Amino acid sequence: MSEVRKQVLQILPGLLFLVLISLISGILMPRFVRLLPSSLLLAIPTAFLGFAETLVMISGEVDLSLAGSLVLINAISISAYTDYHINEFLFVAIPLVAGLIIGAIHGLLVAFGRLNSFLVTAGTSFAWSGLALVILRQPRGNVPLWFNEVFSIGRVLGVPLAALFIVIAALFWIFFSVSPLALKSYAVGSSPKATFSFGIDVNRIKFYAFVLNGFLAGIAGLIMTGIIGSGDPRLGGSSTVLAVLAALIGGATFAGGMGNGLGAFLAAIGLQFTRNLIAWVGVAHYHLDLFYGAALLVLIAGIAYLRRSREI
Amino acid sequence: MATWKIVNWAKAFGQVEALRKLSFELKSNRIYGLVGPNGSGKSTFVKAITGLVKLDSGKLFRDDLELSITSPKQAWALGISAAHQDLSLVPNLSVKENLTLVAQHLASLRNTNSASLMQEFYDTLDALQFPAPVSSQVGHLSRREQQIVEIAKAVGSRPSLLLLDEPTSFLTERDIERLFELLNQMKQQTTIIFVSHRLREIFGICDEVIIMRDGQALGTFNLRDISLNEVVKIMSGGASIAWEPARTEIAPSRGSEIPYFFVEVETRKINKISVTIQKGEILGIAGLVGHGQSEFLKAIYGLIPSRKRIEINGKPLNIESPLQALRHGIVYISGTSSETTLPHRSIKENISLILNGLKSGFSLVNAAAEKQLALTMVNNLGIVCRSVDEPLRHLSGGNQQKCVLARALSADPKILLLDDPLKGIDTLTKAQFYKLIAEVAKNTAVVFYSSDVEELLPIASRVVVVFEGRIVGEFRGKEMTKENILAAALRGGNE
Repeated sequence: MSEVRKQVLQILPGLLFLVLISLISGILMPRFVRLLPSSLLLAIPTAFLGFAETLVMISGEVDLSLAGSLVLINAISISAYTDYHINEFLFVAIPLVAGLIIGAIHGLLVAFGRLNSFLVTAGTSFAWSGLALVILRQPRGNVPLWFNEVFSIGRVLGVPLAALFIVIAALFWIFFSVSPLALKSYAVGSSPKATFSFGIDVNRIKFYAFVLNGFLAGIAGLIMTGIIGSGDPRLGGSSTVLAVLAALIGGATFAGGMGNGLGAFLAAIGLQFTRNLIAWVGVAHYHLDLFYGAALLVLIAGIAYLRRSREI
Repeated sequence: MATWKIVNWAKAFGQVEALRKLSFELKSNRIYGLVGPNGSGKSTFVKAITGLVKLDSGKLFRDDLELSITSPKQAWALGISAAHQDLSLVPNLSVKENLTLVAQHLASLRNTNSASLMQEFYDTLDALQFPAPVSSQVGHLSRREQQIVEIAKAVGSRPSLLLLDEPTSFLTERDIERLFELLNQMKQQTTIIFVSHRLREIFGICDEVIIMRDGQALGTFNLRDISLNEVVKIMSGGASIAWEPARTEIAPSRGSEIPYFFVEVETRKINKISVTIQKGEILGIAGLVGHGQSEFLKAIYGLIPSRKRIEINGKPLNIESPLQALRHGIVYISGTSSETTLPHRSIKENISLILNGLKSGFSLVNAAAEKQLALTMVNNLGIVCRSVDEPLRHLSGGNQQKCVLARALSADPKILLLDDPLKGIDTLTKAQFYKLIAEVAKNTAVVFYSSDVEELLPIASRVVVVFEGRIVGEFRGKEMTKENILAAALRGGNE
């Protein structure tokens, strides 16, 4: 029982943030409720990236390459289908496998190469988007017809896609948090020294964290590819920063040992909604990032203030 | 039932030899006390046998079978577990989660289920009457409660070799009784090593005592054949430092005189320590590690919050931060170089740090003066370096520490606070230090805390002994001997 209570308490900040932004949006934007399924779906890839970021931050590391990974996964999937004519049902597996491999590379370098994850992933973020550009060269390609249809309808068997993905994320988080790996990840991030003394292989736990992180980036890549229906070496944008921010709202810290994947998932949706909201209230397109950035700064200061007051 | 043999264990950290040819034997069904002065290698031994520290050389035998331990995992698999002095618990996790991690791991090693192991942990916590719920986060527990969890983690794993490194430092009398009861029951299945500074506890629970000094075992003695005083004598009988300057004897001040320096400090850890020091005096502070000596000096310097009264020449001062302390001429030096040096910056920058820090924010660094100061100091203190532009980390530990002293001297101190400044420094450099400090003391007052009593004896005018955050003894003149000081530090009084 106390486990459930703990989970709920951990998810609360992300959930409250999303509810708050939704309420404000609902009041200010008349079409918010009607557009909810599609705006939710558009936010899902970033949400999975926030989830992915949380997993490595729990283990005391960070991933700055998520935007690059997303583009690369998109490029590989599109190229596999358009250039190499892979079976259209196997198509779904490509982004997931690509994500796993990317995660494993990060994990190897950080855990067993003993390299700083900040530097490794800063480096690979350029390498991945560069590789995507080499593969695609320009926005092009297409996805299997059935896949395109699912995303343009936005439903499978009557169930809204966004809802389906939220359920998948929740299940994934539940499975992770009841597995022994979760406890070990928190322990490694919180005190690698003590965890080592328990006889636990610290490097292996960090490696697993990156592999799971890559798999979730793969899911994000799959959904992103579905949404845009083609390959685009320029997408990704600010999603790394949003993922880190979502992880922080979800309770993660740069010191490690804390964080909640589902909380970060919901927070990331809230961050996307914030952007929609700012666009809606009539900020000119070229002012959008300025206002959005200011809103994020206020948010960061708010989190820092709340945490400090809780510590004292 | 197994016998364990430790043969020729050696381990060096850089220049410092923590263990050198440590050898002894452990028989089954016994509780061994492991004693020795600070820095004799007890904790290093505990860390080595649990795989936390890799040995440079040495062998381990269980019943004549040679074993090797290169990771904590192997130690657990061999049934060796320890409660460490500096705790090995994950602060962000709950008590239950910490124990679960160990239980899951042990269960896979022993092919049992982790639920029964958890039960063992809980039983141990109950036996020690752990007062908090197991769902509480370890980082939020008191030091005493954390210590009980650390003990339960080791004891509850039902090891065949159990090590307890200073387990009682934060426990109450009742806790200790319960722990001893538990250890006496466990003795039937387990060999136990009890590391402690508290000789009375060693005599209360152990069958035999292993005495260590300078990384070696001097012998294993049956406690029926040896007295407490004899143990102290063997422990303290080490080689003394060759250089013996004349101690500066200063007559105790008469009541009417205004003292040069008066300080009274109270913190969470310090009960209330007050001392009065005359100009020209070197006050030695002794005591076992972690009884508040360091905190006392840090509090005076404004590094940690405290309630305090400080007077220089009868004038009360308000010191809330190191900057204020420095402005009043109070300078602090720590022996932990990571706390006081900028290893990647040059020698000259390290030396002029205080002087530049005291300048106003808009004045420029005078490069020529900075260099001149550094050259003078390098000359006066005999700092061995190729150039003052070299990064500090290129110097040996002793020379780095001289740079720290140089920095303090450049600020023209009225009061010099030395917080275990000679940790891990070789004898020759120590002798040079004494000369410098004796010189400085002529025009200042020096408060000198050392974790090694022998460092105080050649130079201190008098020595006060701190125990659990209060002064329990003061020695001067002929009374100021290693044995008297150690006895007071171990027993917490003069009785």
